[in-house]
Amino acid sequence: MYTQYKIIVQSKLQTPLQSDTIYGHFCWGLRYHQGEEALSEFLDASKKGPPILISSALPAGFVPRPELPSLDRKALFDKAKELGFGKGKAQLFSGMSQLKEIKKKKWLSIKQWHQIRHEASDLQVISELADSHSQPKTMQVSSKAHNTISRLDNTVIEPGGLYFTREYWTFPGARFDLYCFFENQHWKSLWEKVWMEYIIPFGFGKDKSTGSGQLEFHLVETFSEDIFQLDDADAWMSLSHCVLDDYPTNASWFSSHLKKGRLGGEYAVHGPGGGKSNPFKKSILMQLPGSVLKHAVQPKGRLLENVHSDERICHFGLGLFLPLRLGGEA
Amino acid sequence: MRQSTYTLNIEFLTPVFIGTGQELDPLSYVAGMNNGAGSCLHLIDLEQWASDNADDAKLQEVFNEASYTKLRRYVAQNISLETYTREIIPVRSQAFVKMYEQALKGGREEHRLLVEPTHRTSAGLRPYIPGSSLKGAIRTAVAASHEKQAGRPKTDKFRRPDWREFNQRIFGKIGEDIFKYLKISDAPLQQGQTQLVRPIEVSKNPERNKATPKNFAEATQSLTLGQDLKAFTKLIIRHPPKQEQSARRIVHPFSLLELFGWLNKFYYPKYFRELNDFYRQPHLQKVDEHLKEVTEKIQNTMGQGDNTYALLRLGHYSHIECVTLDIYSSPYFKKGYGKTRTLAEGLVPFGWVLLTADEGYKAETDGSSVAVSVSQAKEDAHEKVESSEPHRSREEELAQKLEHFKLELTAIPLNKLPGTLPGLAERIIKHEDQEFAVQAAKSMLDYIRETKMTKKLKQKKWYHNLTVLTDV
Repeated sequence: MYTQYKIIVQSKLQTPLQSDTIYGHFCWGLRYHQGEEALSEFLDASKKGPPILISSALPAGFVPRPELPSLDRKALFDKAKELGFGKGKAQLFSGMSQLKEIKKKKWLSIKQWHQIRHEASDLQVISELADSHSQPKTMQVSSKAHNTISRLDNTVIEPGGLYFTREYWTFPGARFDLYCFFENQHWKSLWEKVWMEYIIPFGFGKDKSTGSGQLEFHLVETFSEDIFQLDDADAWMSLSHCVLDDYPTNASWFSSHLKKGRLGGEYAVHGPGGGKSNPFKKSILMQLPGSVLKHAVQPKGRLLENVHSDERICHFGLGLFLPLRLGGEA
Repeated sequence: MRQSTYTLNIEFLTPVFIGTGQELDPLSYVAGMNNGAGSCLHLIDLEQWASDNADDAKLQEVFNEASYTKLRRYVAQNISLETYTREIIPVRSQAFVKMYEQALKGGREEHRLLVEPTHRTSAGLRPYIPGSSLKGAIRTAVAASHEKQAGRPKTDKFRRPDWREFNQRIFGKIGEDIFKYLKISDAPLQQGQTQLVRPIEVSKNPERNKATPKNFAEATQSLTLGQDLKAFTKLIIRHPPKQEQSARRIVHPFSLLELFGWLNKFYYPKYFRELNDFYRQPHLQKVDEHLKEVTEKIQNTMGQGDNTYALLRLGHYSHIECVTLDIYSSPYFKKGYGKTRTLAEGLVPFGWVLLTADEGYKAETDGSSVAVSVSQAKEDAHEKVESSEPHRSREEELAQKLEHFKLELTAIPLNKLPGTLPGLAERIIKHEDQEFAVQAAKSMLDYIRETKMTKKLKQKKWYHNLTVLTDV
């Protein structure tokens, strides 16, 4: 069953709401509240056929712009002429400038998604975005300096006393959508319980203890699963930070980033075996939301193992995908 | 994991200024009037205004001249404050208004009138008190309350006291730090609840004329300056699991009452010591007068002795005594320290707040539960306290007041005792509660005897007055 939740950020965030990080918080919540066995059960189930799949937190009412094969040069010029209302140099320049602006737009509204998903192509996406002016204004990132004063001599501790943190602040009224798939009601109930009893009270991400990561979490009762249903879908767009399976044999288009994950909970400060801590996971190449995989069967991503010197540690590369049909030359 | 959640109420007794390390560019604000409510600073979106007026030939000419003062004057005269104002800060300081007018008339380039802003949310530009500042101020008090138990700190390879090692001794190693179980959120404020003030340095020495110049600062409103103000935030004390309770550290898992007790033990004497050392000097009398209401409030609330209130000092200009430990601190200043204070508008010290806590916390997503004026709620609070407080006997009340007085007395460093005691003695002699005055006088005389200062001080008039009081 598919569900949608609304997340409202009440304070600053120092850890973005990415799907793999949210999974990590869920796992720690499961361990603290239900015990080690419940966590093991969840991890074992995730290796076989994942009982829970989630998206990253997306601006409310929007989905990521799909990564699709770019227009060829001729089509690009034709579009620029169309946007600039003419063939002359000035009009072409205007058209190209508009294309450049459109390229920066990263989000499609749900309505726009429904328009393009039947025969998705870059040309269609550009046409939709050319007609619309709205891009969600959700977050602003800022860098803040901190210092740690020694209470013995009133000086900044060296080294490391002066440091900078990156903060994510939401604009007033900003909301986020979180999409989830649950194998059955049991997992859905467990998911909501962990959110209410662990993630909400204790906060999300870094610096929870000084007020970061305060969230509200609401189930959207009126959510319709239409967006996850499409007949004869031949491709899938990711809503999550995930690791695509079955590639490069299948055609795919994606933006990737290098994830340097960290261990959470108490493993952030001492090793899983109780010894000296190594809170860093091995670097992982992950695909960003908007990545498109051409495949008849819905992908789910992968639960990655061997990401830490302790073999019990894993990383959630699982993801939720939206179906689409590719058009154009894809 | 069990936890207790509270709404922490923060009443601003004096202005609190928590800087960001940044300064407002003189082109990022315009001083003006705020609908007849007095002078104010408009934080403007200069980039947007310049973009919207890109075709203005005169503006381009002014940009090309590269003169700060001319550009500033042009912006102030031509910008639409209704359209391009992002935030308004009331201006308390009349000196700022004058200096700004002079700067616009063609003042020197170096008179840039830098302003140090407070913390604001990046997106909505709302001011707030960072949870990390609250937690840091609390941590100082808790460390000071346990430093004696911790023993002398070690020194690092540079022969400087090793705060990191000492910190671990008191609070535990990083993975077992007891303070990870204390969570304090940011305290949001509303627009208009901060004000621009001028920090002015004053000296204990009345003949000292030189004062270190300071930038104008955006501080909160407060009981003593501006409008009285109360902010709210969430405080959570988690109870560590069994396996973490026996970790090696001096501070044990604590309750809210214990925490408030430590805060009072540290900050209460600090307030009165500063009052006696500085503001009761003849040349700083006006400061004492401005602080009368605050002093009475502190004495009345702290005097209850039940730790339902806690005193705290936050932010910049808290001065060294409030940010370092009592026994083992060893600040290094070439010319010494503790001789000056920085006051808002030269009238009140920065940073003093009064904390109370209510069980439970309910967040308002639109932030409407943020800071309010205290005056309206004063009567309700007073009724609530009267009805909910259990009746205490006169003996209990006296014992608690005496306990607090002893705390204040013993917190004074030995080398400063001869200078501080006369003021303290005068306060006791003039105290309206005669019974308390007698007992306090006895405690003071006993303490002088313990510190072996009797021979030195018994010739003083105030000493004689204390002995007369105790003979009554």
